[in-house]
Amino acid sequence: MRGYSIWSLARNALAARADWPRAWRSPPLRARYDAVIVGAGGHGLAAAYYLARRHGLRDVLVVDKGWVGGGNTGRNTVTIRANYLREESIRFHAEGLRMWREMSGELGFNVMFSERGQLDLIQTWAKLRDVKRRQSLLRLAGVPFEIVAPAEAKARVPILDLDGPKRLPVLAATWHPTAGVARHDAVAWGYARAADALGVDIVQNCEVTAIRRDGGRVSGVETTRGFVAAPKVALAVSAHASVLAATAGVRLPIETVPLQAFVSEPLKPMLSCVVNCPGQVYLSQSDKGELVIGGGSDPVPSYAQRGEFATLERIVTNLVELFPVLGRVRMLRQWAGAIDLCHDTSPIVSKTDVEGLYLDVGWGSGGFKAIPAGGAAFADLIATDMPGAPIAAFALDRFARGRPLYETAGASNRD
Amino acid sequence: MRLVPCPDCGPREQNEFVCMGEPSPHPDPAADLADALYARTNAKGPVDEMWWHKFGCRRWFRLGRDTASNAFVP
Repeated sequence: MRGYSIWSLARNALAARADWPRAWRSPPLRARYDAVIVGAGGHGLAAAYYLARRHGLRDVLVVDKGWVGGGNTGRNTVTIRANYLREESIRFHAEGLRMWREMSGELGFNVMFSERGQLDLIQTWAKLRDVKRRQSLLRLAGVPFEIVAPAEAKARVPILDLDGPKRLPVLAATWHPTAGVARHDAVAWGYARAADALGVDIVQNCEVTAIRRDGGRVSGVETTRGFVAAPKVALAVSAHASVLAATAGVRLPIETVPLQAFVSEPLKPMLSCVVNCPGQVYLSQSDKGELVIGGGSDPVPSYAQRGEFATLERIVTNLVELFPVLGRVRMLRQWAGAIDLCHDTSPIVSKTDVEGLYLDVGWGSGGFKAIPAGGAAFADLIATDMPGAPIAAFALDRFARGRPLYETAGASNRD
Repeated sequence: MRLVPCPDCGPREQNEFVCMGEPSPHPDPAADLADALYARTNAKGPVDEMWWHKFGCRRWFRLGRDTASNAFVP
């Protein structure tokens, strides 16, 4: 793999950009691999990269029905943070934040990670009590997180309106300085390029239609381009986890719901951090100047990647109440991703009753931030068959054992 | 806003309703209780599900919907 650097940029500028090689190969689909990862999004590609890098497992196929990063990796609102509620989630995402800081250097690809901090507005006493508890837990895990007065919130986000008529007053805010954003496509491309360079095959436009099992263990996957044999099959899919797992006879505690986002026209720099508001709306400003605005999930489960108008109306109402300056801003695009939401809104990174079938699914509204830590932990699980400490609490059998991991820090409607 | 056909009230705005999801039979205590409590079929395609007219006549009824397109099917 040829590295990207100031020298390669300069050389290609002089050579009329004729010297750029393809970022990754487009290999033919073979009949057999040591492991097949379904889904060439951030999680699948990161898992393939760490399998090859940390475990020397290079005979790996990453297969996708669309294109690299074309699913929810390309549809999210790119927020990266660790201010979760449960100890297990906090530890997992704190490790994730460390990996995000090092990602561009490790992959040799600028993922434009920007550690700009996140401000959460608090408008009810119940929420204030909740964040006090979270503050203690985050402190124990070494994650910086503090409760600040409304005046400091206003100083950090000058476009915030504290004085106008509100249904509820802003009581306080929390400041999480190590949160940030990154370029979502670059994350997928960076992992794809690095995994490809280590020998992983990435095959696009090839849909996995079923998982084939031979008695109690996996024997491979059926695809639109024929059968592929593999002793290990790993699902890193969103929206279709239930459908695919069902072909192997595995039932999941998952519902698929749409999660909406939209992007405004480019504006002058006006927002230096990520802001999360009550009423399920959060926003940040991209380097192009567009405001990236996300909402809570829709109330009706659906695979259609389209949000409902009622949800959009609620998001915009809450947005304009706190940021009246945005009332006349025009929106460029609105879309929805279909997210897999677990019963307890925590993910599933787990073995299953079917030997050789691994799951990295159910990330709900928080899959993007979990790409490096989730991919690395998933690779450990696939290679060693042992769930490591970071993901032990995310096992599928937690429901049968009576140990669900209820989480309140997601953007989903079950908050 | 999308209209939901209530058998009592006729078509009403979706905000008045709660989608209660796929109907499930009463669990057999001898069977796998975790499966009955937590697992979902989460089918992609036409499903027959429970809806509740919470802010209306408060009736529970069954309604067909295609989860692939999110359109109601009669």
